[in-house]
Amino acid sequence: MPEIKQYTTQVRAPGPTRQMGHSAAEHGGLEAQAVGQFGGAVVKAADAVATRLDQENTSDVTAKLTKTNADLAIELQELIRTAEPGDKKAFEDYNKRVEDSLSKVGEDATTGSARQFYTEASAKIKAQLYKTSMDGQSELAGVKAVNDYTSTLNSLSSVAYADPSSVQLQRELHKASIENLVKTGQLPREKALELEKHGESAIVKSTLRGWAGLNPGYAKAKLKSGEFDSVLGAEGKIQIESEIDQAERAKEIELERRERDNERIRKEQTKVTQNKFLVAMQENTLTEKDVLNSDLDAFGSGSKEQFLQMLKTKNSPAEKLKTDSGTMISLYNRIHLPEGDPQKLVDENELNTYFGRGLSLTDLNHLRDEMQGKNTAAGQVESDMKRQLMEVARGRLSKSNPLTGFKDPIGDEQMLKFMSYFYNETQKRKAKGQDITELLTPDNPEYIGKMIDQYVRTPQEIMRSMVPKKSKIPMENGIPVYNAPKPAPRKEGESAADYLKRIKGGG
Amino acid sequence: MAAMTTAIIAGAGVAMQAYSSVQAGKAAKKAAKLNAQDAMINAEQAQQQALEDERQFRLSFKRDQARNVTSIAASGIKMEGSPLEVLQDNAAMAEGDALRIRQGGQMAADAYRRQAKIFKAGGQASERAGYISGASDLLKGGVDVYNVGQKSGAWS
Repeated sequence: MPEIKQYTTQVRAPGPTRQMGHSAAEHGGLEAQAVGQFGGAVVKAADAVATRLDQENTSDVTAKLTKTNADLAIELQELIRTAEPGDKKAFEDYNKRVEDSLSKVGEDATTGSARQFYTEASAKIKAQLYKTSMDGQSELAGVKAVNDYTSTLNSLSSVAYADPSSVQLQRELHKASIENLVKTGQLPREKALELEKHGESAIVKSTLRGWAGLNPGYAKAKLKSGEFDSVLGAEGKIQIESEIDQAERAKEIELERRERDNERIRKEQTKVTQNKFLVAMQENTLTEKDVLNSDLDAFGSGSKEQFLQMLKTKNSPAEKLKTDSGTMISLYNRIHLPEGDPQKLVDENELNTYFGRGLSLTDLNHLRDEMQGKNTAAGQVESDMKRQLMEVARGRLSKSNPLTGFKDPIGDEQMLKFMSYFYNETQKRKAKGQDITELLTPDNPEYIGKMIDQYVRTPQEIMRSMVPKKSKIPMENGIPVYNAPKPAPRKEGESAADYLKRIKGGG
Repeated sequence: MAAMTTAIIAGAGVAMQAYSSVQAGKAAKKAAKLNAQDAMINAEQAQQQALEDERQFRLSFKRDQARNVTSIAASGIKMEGSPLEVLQDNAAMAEGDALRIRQGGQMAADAYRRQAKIFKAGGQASERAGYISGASDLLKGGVDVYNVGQKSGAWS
């Protein structure tokens, strides 16, 4: 029988088939990772922006803080320079301003580094400013101490000057004041010794000056006694000695000055009395008793005697008391002559002598006003303007006409009329308290010079005045025959001067 | 305003980082779960394979044993003494092999099952790590956001 080979399986049953290769990436792991990285990048970007903001803010705050520091430092220096010594409030106010200014800058410091910088820098700035402020206050306190001491020394010196006998007391008070400054720590001991020496010297000098003011001789004796030699020293002694000499001279000069002043015051009072009397005389209220009881001198210019004589003259006939135009104009011109001219009228009382001799009382007062008005700067200007106006008037009224060559024979009278008009107008204006220079200014509509024309006469009027209406001159065939009066013969033995005097006087 | 915006943007970045960590953990867990499932399937398959191998082996041995019995019988040798002992010895050895095949399958299946367990545990660990990492991101990011806000002045 054939051997039949039995089949044996060649294939194994299938084994494990799964790979188990699943990974997180299949389930969004990579995306998640990417999101995470993106998130990280976002954080980094935000950090970069924050860093930039921080840098900007820090830079801004730095600039503001340094400027504020500069401003505050300048303000502090100014405060130290100008503050009153011992004025604490000014510094308290300043410290408050420091706080406010720095806080204001601090409000702008919003980022981390900026705030950190601000905190550190502002603390340093505050510390520095407070230190400088304290130094300044100390300096001012020192200045105050010196000021106080100076004030004390001045007071003590003043008292020593006013009451030289109290010198010992002033010296003791001075010592005590210095000791107080030392005790309160306002003055170092070595400086105190220096001040004490200086102050002692000042008080002693004031004392001697005080004596010199009261009695220079006694002051000299005191100085020579040697009592103050140690305080004054050789130089101080020489200085005070010459000051005493000076005081002696000053006393003499002062005496002279007082005498001059008294004389001036007396003259002014006299002038017031004279003016009052002239006005009273014009109003007929002046009596001889008034003159005799007055403060006028007995004799001389403007004296009682002169006024009594004027009172007597006032009782003369009215004709004698009229103003003569020539006299008036001549006196007016003499008043306005240049300084130094021997003819110039300088004493108004000289005018009094012309009363009753070609000068009325009214015109006398006018001319006195004219002279007295020149005594002030404003019066001088006014006087110059008047003089100019009168020059113009005189040229128009009492001088020869340049064309015809004729001179108005009553030109001086016309001039006098114009002067009267002028004085009346100015008095009216002065009475109203108005400025009379307006009347004297040619540009002014009220210029009084415009009125001169009214006093200028026509050539016809002048001619008529020149030819008498009824001539007393003997005529022959219409031709005047002049029979000049024969002068009185000269007496035997009569001098030429006496003869001339006699014939001029009508003898 | 710019400072606050910067801080908000930084916060958003941090949130993204935290989210990504959590999501990565979850993805790892999902992958591990699938791997564990595959391992379990492999274990089953390994066990099935071993059983089939055992069956084939037993069948093959049975044929070989039958051929040997036939040969012995054809030779006239009595089924006693040494021939019988050889057959009995063969049967014992074959049984041992069959059992070893089964044991080998069992061992392979056990290995897969253990692997499945490891995958599962790894997945869970990844998920937990994702959460922890997310929390860590939030914490660290919070510090970053604070610093950004501090720098830019968002908090003043």
